Order: sequence, then structure tokens, then C-alpha cells
Amino acid sequence: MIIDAHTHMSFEKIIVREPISGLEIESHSADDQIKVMDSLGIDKAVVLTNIGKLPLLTPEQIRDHNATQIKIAKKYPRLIPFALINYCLPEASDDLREAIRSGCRGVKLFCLPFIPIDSSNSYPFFETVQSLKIPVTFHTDFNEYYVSPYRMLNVAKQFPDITFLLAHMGYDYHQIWDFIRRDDVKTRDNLIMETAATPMIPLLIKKSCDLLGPERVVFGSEAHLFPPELGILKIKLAGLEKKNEQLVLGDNMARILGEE
Amino acid sequence: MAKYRIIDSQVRIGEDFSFYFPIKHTPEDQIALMDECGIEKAVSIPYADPPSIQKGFIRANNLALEIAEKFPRLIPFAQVDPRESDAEKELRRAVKLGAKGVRIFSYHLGPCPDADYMKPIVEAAIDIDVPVMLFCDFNEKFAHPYRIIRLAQKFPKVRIIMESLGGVDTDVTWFLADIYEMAGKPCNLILDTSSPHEMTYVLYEQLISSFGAENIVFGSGAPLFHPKLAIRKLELARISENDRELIFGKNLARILKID
Repeated sequence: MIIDAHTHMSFEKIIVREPISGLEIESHSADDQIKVMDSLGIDKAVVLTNIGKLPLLTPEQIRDHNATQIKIAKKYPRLIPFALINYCLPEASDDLREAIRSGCRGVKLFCLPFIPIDSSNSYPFFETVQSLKIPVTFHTDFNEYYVSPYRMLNVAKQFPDITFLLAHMGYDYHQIWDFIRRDDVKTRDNLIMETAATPMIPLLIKKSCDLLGPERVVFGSEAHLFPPELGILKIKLAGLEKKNEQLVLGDNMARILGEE
Repeated sequence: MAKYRIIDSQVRIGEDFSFYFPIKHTPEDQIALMDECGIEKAVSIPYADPPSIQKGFIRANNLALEIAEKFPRLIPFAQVDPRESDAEKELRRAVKLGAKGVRIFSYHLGPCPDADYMKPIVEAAIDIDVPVMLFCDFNEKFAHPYRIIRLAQKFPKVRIIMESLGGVDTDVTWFLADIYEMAGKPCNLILDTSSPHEMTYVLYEQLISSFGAENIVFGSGAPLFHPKLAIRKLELARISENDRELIFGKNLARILKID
């Protein structure tokens, strides 16, 4: 079984204007996503966000986004919707409860500078997450102050019952080496490395499995921005034992999501 | 017979102690990897020992030349620290003995690509007609792509190869429009695609439409980065077969004057 832990959609062609102008993001519908999955033998995929023209920050944008996610998943049961929440808003916990009640299976967070994710001001939100027993996917980047995996590590220590997926593993491979060797990362079993948009270094996957355990690494592709074929190939080139490769490609995510 | 002529602009040979997981990659390992992946030739840049100082670079240059003697498919590049007084002399020596280009590595202690001390090296590179490859990472203040573009603008006669397009993380995407806007077209800047992430349509499709395919060269970043991923990435890009052939090998063959 292959489960892609990290995909996106765009319902129209987007011309990104910030921070630079002119970058085009193509449209990618649920039908397009299913076709890609069929061509590569991907059974299921987590849909994290629909990429649109606006940053998804206001309560109205967030609710509209999550309602769309749920609508898609009802039509395409192979697509697993995660809610997007702005945890800095006072209604964050209520919005999350509503999204989960309506069918979302986890939550995707962008860490924002308004309230650092590992400050105690964010804890009430994580208490809600904990009570809902859902996984959290964080966008991480070692070179961005507010989205450093070290902040995620702090949160994971405070909330050991929540499963945290570190999207992109923090990107920067020099710093990933440091991170996965740390004792407090090795022992933090609720911290999962997610491979979407990580450097094209199969050795990183291998070393993460060796140091953290193969149960703590999951495949993500960053579709449709990145071709999932390359994300799968990166894992297949890592030289893992077959059973561990299967854990990374799908079994771990099935366990995290409580899938059959 | 391979579908494309592939020349890899960036491979490392030897022992790398800079990571917590040391990497050992012999010339024989590299040739086996090239055979496995259908790569005809590769630019060989041995790890310097000691790293990042002139003594280590001179040893690495001798090693690159020795390797090329035994394995002509591995194209030697010299490495120098342009701040050293003997840097120009070392570059001329290495090129006389067979080096086809020079690579300069920068980090937070420099050297800085757009500093004045680059002038003798760049002028020597123009004189002996070899390209200058520069390590580039937008997360490093002194190896930032904007500094490399400034160097290319200061010396329009030298061919500057910007290593790894500026970085390995996804956010390099945001710098690409700046790179081609600042560099202009036609220009003397050559973008090497070794190392960056798996995105195809921004790295290749949009880049080609704005920058042109003639100044983009395929690179893998082996052994740390796997060439199979880099090759497949370029195969998946929705570009013309002509552009794909240029990037896979024809451009670098032209730049390095390889038959």
C-alpha cells in the first residue's frame, strides 16, 4: 500500500505575485490527482491544502477551504482531507472541531510569527488537537526562524500524545543530519519525518530510518508541485529492507490515520 | 545506446568528512554509477583535504588530474581560494595540466564571489578560456546567487557556472525569476541543475521559457544526490527534445569544448 502524506490541489491556474511576480502554479483538480495516483499505484493521498490566490489566514478563508476539502473527500474517498487552521485566531479550536466533525482527518499548520508555535499561548489549541486524537502536519524549514523543526520538537515534547509530522524534514540537509542525531529527537516517538520536498538524497531517508526507526518516516510527494514519481523513487533508492520500505511508503501513514 | 548524451556538471570524488556520516566515493565507484545511469562524462571535483584551504585544494587538483589520466570520462576541475597569493598561479598550472575549469567554494568566512580579490582569478580564467564554477546557496550570505550574478555582470567575458541553481530547498524557486531578470539575456551565466529539489516545471519549464535552454546544464551532485533522480527529473520535464538534449549534455560539451 502506498499512501502519499503530502499533496496539494489548485482549482485554477495561479500566478503567484508575492514574494516575486510571475511564478505560475498550474491547476490540478481531484480528477487530475486520482489519475496521477492510478498511474503510480498510490492507493490514498492526504490533501493538505488547496493552493489559491489568497493566503489562507482569515476565518472565512479557512472555513471555505476546509469545506472544499470535505466536499472533495466525500466524492473521492481515496483523498484524505486535512483541515487548515490559523492557530493564532481565537476561533482556531472551534474551527478545528467543526472541520474534524465534518470529516477532516488531521490538521495542517503553517507556523506564524504572530504567536510562535512553541509558545504557551498556542497550548490551548494543541490541547484541542490532543482531545480530538488527530495527527498534525507542520510545514518546517531550518532556515526560517518561525518554522524551525526545533520549535516543533518543543511542541512534541509538551504534547507527547499527539503525532507530529515534520513536512519537508526542515529542507536543509546539513541541518537534518544534526537533527536526527539528537538524543531528544531519537526518543521523541511522536515526531515523524515526512519526506515531501526533501533534498534528492536517498541517504537521508536511510539514515532517518536507521537512527529514528523505520516507523518514524513517511512518504510525502508535494504533488502537484512535485512529481510523486520522484518522491517514490527517492525512497526506493534508499536501500531499505523491503518491509521497512513498505512502512515508509504507506504502512506508517495507515497506522497514523487509523486506516484499515 | 543511451537515449541522451549525458554529461554531469558536478560530482565529488574521495572522502568527505564534513558530515556526521562520512562519505567515501572512489573514481571506480563514480564510473560504476555513471555506467548504471547512462552518464557518459562527469566533471570531477575531489573533496579537498584539508578542506577549504589552498593546501587541500592543490592536493585535490593533483588528484583530479591523476584520476582523469586513468579515467578520461572524469573531467578535472581545479579548485583555488582566490584570496591566496598563489591562486592564479595554481589555476594556470592546473589548466596547463588538463583542468577544464575552476571551482570556487564559499561559506560564511568567504571567499565572497563579488569581492575585488576575485579579479585576478576571473581575468586568468578569461585568458586561458575556462569557465568559473561557484558554489551557490541562497541560505548562505556569502554564496548567495545575487553575489554570483553581480560577478557575472562585472566580468561579462567570463562564463560563470552557478552551482545547484542557488540551493537545495524548495524556496530556491522564489529566486529563479530574479536570477534571469537580473542576469539578462543573452548572458554569461550558466545554471547548473545539480542538487535542487524535485520540482520540474519551475526548474525546467518556466526557467527555459524565460532564460533559454542554452545556459542550463545538467548536474547530479553525486554521490550525495542520486543521479537517477536528477535524470528522471529532466526526463519528466515537459520541454522540447531539443532543449532536453542541450541540457543533458550538448551545452556542457560546448562550454568545455568536449568532442
